[in-house]
Amino acid sequence: MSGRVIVVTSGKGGVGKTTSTANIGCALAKNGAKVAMIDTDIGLRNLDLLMGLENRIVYTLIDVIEEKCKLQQALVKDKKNPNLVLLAAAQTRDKSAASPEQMLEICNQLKEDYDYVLVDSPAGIEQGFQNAIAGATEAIIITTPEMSAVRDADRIIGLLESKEEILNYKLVLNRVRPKMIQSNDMLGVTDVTDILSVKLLGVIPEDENIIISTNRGEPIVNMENAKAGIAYMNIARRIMGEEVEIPDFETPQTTFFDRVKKFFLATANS
Amino acid sequence: MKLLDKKLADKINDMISEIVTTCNKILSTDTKVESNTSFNSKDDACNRLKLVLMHDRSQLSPGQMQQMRDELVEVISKYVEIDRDALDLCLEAESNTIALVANIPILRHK
Repeated sequence: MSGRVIVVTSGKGGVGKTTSTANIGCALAKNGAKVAMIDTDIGLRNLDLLMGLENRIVYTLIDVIEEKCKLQQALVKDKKNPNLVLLAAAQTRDKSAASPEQMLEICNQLKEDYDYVLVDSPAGIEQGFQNAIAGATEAIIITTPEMSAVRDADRIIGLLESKEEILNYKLVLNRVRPKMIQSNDMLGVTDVTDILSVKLLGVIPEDENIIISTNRGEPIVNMENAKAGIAYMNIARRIMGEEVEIPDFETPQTTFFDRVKKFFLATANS
Repeated sequence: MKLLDKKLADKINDMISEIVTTCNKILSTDTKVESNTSFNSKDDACNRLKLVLMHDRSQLSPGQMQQMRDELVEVISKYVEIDRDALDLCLEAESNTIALVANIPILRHK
């Protein structure tokens, strides 16, 4: 078997890389795929926390690289889904503890056994980023409708384009607030995709449940009816090749008063 | 009579519009950002982003642009008399390519 290695990256910090990795990984596994997630944010690991696996980490990515353990030993199984595993980053070292060649080797080993290898990239464009993209052939760029995040995403796209191993990359627009877009106070989905001239993989609406799910160490795709969870499930289906429509967050919904107005106008004109 | 009806309908229409906007304002739970109706903050963001990305992509800083402009003025002035202040040099984006566009008003041939 040869799985797909997908790096999740953004340039800017705090836009939702780790949250997206956790949820897309979990959603892919829920759909029956075998998924391995790698946290490459050495020194600032968090993917274990979002998955609620922080107490189960024994060995890390660096232990594998330094051959202190076998790769299989360092993979931590998800609490619910045995098809989902996590390779955690070391917390006590820094980015220079791993090299792109070593990362490529680990990704190549993992894709023998897993359908999807998701690599959670650290913020920035330095060595941590170079490590994260080393083994990937696809990329998911996470951004938010904010100027600084879009600018950094543009930089990341430039860097990904110069790496010929990356065959395709797509954008996930995170933390979208439909009401602010409708009142023209937030960049819209098409504004961002036009400016970056990039294909869209999905749109995640702002959802307070994300905070609750992080508190519990339970990805939001496991929460029923959460807006962001549904959006992540749809992203996973699109990655697996299914055609799933991206909902429109930009056209205003008609309010109750709009309908009252319509009714009165109809009566007045008749 | 028909005309009066039309006027009345218009009046009612206006009145309802006003009531609806007032009600929507009161009921809106969002903290509305004071937005200028003619030019909203999204357009600001779009325009600023497009400009900054053109500079990022071309790897030309505004300072370097100014320097290039000054040098261009110097070279061109050797051959023709130009309106130095009206010389316009900017980056323009067309789909995926960036162009350097210069508009140089000539005052007279030397």
